Amino acid sequence: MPAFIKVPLLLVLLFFIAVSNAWGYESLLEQARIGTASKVDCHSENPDTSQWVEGNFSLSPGQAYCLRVQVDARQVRIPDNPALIWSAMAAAEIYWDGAYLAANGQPASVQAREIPGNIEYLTPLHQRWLDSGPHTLSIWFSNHYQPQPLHQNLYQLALVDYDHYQHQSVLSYLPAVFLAGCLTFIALVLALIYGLYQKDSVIAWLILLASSCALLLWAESWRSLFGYTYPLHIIRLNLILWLAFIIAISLTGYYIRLYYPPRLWIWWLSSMALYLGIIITPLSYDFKVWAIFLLAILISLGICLSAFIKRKAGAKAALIFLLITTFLFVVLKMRFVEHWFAVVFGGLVLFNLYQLIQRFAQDRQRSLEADKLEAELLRRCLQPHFLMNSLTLAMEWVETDPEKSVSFITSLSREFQLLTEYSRKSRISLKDEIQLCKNYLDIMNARLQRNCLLHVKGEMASINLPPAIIHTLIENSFSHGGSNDDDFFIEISRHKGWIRLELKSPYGKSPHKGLGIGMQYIKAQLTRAFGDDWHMESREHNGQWQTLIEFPGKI
Amino acid sequence: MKILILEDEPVIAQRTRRLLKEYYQTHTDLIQGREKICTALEDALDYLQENSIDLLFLDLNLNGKDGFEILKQFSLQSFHTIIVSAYADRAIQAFEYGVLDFIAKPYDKVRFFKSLDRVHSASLRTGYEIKHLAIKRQVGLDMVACEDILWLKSDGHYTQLHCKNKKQYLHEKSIERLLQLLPQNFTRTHRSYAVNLNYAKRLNISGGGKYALDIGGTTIPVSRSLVEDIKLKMHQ
Repeated sequence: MPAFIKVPLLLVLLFFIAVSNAWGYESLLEQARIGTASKVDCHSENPDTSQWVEGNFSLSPGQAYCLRVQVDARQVRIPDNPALIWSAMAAAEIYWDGAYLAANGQPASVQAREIPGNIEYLTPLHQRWLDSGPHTLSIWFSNHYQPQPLHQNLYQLALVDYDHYQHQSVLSYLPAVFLAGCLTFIALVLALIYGLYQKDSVIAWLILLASSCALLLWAESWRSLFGYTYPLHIIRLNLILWLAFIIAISLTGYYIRLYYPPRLWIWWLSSMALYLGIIITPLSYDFKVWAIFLLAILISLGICLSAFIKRKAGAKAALIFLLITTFLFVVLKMRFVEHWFAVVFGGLVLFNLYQLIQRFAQDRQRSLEADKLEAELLRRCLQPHFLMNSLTLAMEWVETDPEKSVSFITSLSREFQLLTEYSRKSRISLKDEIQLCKNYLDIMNARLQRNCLLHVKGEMASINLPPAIIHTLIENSFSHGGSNDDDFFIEISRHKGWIRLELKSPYGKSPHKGLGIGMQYIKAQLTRAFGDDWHMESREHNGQWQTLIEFPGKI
Repeated sequence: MKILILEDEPVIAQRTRRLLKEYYQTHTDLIQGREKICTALEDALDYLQENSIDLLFLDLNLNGKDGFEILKQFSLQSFHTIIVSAYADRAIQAFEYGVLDFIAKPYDKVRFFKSLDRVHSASLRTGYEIKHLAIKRQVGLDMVACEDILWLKSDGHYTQLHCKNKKQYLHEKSIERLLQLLPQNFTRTHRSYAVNLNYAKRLNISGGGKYALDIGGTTIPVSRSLVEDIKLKMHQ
């Protein structure tokens, strides 16, 4: 199994262990009554709570509040090492049955005297405090440092098992931190590839995606890792929101770049406008982040679907990936937004890294192939039979007919010049190719004392093809002993954007043995230039050897 | 000298013919050559059906056909073969098939004449010492190691080869021509005999002043005129 599948699978497994761990958690927030009261009233035995309300709601900033809740040991499950978890945008003093239990910061009725508490606060309870009877938990808290109203001020108030809760919080941030580390590392690797190897904007988008995913994971884990006082909570929420925005634009940017490069900016800017639209709505932070993710996945899905319909390379894999992502998003809901997005997008980045490395290997293979073909062509024209026989001819004419020898040596040197020049190119014009063939025929005519001609029918302007394709066919015809005096014919035609070249050559006496070196060369060159988009067939017809080559006119 | 030139490129065939003419014009004492040019293998085979020749100039690449297949058809015959080829790297392999010389293309007059000198000299050997001699079988051919050959005896136009393991072979080339191909340790002892001197133990004189060599238990007659030459060679 390749590493790009293994690593995400391992992460998924870790996450599964982390989230599936059942543990004691008795939320007290739902039965709590909240109202404004002085500190003394709040902790007194029977305050007037007629104006108070039950449940969790938005509290305006800059005030002191009281929360009271009845805890009945007979009705709730008491953990082995009971503890109270309190998480709120507030400084708080906690009393148990009217007696002081703990303080998270220092609440006050005026801002000057408040000391902000931590966003999350865990305090142990004695087992005996929970013995029988209903108990009263009262919390006096103030939120003077909260800069703006929020949809929710109180996040948690619950009875938990002290050890279990701490264990659980480690389990919840450990995979996230691990994943964030991985993504940071991948982003660094990609940055190195971008900087040192290939400045491709696809890589730039992936770097942005990987690093913003990593940062979002760090921001999410920050709370469990280090804790912080509640005024910083808004900053963290904003950070998460904007990171989600960056993730969304890099995800869509990546797909637009991949499939619609010319219209990149229009698409990208309009999707960005949509994300910004979500950010400025008065919805809760969590909902905005969720909506941005949803929109980013849907836009990406749309891009990939359209690319898939247009049969773009790799669009199918991308579409499947995004469908899985959408499924996970729907199934996991908020949990997707918290951690799972990173697993999924991390998988995407890894997959692309895999494809990128595959491309490097292909590039290397291609350049090796190109070198090989170049060498092959040159070697073929240095082939002893061609070279030494030609030199023997030159020698003979130097001695007997110097004028003839000069013209022959000129053709010969021209052949070498042209082949050296063309062998380095991946394509040459058909005109140049025909020129090369005619020059080769001059040499062969001199050698065999014939007068074979090459007739060209059709328009050869603006046709490009790999070097020495027709040359190789003509050469093959000679080396297979095309010993009659017939001419060569080339017919050029165009059909539905494809170029069709038909070469008719004198039929040789010796059989065409399967795949000669020349044929291998032609096939390798056509594959290199056109991938699978070419066609070649050869047959004997009316004493001629006919070869048909077809390839796309424009790539 | 009847000479056949088998070469598919007309200008090169003409060159060979021209140089041949020039050679014989400057060597009037030799039996003059008469050349015939064939440009295709089939023509040459047809020609050989009707005519016997003394020397063949052979190109190893005829219209794309593999030269060694052609070589096998000619090298075992009674005439000498000289290869004229672009593939100089295959010279050693060609010599193993029993060709007299290998001229690499492109070739000049000096090199060409040297080759003809070899044809006309009994003492000039090929530049390469062959290890094996190709011998025709009913199907295909055998490569007999030269070191295994004890002595040779003329048999009409052919030559018998007598080997260490008591095996006998018949070669279509005359004893004179085979000696031109075999290494230096093979030498003529008699009009009809030649021996491998590596196996010559001693020179015996019988009653009546007849000389003979004992080669692997067989007595090979030695001509009086060649005794001094053989004594010299045995002491080398």
